Amino acid sequence: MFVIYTHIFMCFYKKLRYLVFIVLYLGSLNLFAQENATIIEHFGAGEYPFDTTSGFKICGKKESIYQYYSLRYKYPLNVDSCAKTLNKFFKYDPQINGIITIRFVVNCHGNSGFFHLYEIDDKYQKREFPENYKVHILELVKGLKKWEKFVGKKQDGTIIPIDYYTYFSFRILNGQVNEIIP
Amino acid sequence: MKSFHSLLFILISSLSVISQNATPWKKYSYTTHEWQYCLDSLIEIDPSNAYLWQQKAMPYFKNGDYYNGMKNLNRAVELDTARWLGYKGFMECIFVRDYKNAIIDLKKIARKQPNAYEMDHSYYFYIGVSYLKLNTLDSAEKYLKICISKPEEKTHYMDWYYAGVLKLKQKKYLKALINFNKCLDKYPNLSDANFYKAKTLLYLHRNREAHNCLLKAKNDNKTGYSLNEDNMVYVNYPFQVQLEQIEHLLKK
Repeated sequence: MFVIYTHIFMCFYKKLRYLVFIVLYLGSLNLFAQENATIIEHFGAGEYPFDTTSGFKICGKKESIYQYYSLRYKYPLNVDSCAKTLNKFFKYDPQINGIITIRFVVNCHGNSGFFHLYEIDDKYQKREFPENYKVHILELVKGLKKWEKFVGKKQDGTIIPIDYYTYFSFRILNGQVNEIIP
Repeated sequence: MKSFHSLLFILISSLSVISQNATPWKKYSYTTHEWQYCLDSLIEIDPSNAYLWQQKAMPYFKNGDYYNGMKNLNRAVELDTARWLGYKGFMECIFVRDYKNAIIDLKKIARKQPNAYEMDHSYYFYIGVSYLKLNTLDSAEKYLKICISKPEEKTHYMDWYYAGVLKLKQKKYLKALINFNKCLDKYPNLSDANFYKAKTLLYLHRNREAHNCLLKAKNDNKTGYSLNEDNMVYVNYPFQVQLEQIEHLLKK
């Protein structure tokens, strides 16, 4: 019997080795240890926890939020004018370099909310920018009102309101905004 | 229970490798956690596979999370520099606007692969554009010149476009005009080129022609004729022109 099993194992070894590695690895993680289990919310790239107390409402489900690029839409931001406006508040400072990204959702009414900040330095490591940078940049983004509204259509013709994620990244060089992405 | 689901997910994802599907994560949208989960499990099996790390990185860049994007992309570059350093340079130039690092990385890879391309353009193209954005015009000229030195039929309209912007910045208006005309020969409705051509004509005091270019640029921009790179759906390209800029110049 043992010989038969060994033979089968050898025949399928090439394929099974992945499974063997996985099982061994998971065993080492002790995933079934319920006493150590913690509830972790998992996020994909660009997903983050929503502050549902903010009063902002999306029209559909969280799982159904589109990405701005799936809709082939980018806000028509006048980058030069926005950078100029912001730089009135920011002084030259060689210590302040990096990127502040504000990611958020635009709902089917063209309103924005669920703002989320990512801050990194010019070496792509996490850092905290001075509060006034975050305040002014957030204020500028919240003030953008020309968001496109999108609707989809089901096969039966029913209209589906569309919410979408988007973001702006502000690259700061020597304390001044010098690029706005996307 | 959650752990059990995680285990199940990893097992199912990993079993897909055994089947004919060599890229099982691609059955999920790349912004989902399933995409990342699936790649994580495959990386556990094959941590030296640079492609898996690049696939983890890519969605983060497309969503403005450069910390996670660069962390994973750096791993891909460490594992397979020849394949991914040029891509990293492209991401730095176009997605992250980190022109200094783009130049460093692209020069490094261009020394080893002088004829290689990334996203339809040579490494010299991105180096030239990066220098142009840094306003280091002599260096930009050195690299953009390589791009427009190819036989005319092989020269991309973007090569002429950036060469035109360079000449405009250098205040060599007649040469700028030649470059924009060559760009427009290849892509007559390119609103961005007509906008910069109009600017050039204004410097040459050819106001009526400039006005006509701007009207055409406005019309073409409204009908969707702009730079048409694949990645434009995610980010604007350097010196890409917005309708507001055209309208602003028309009012002057």
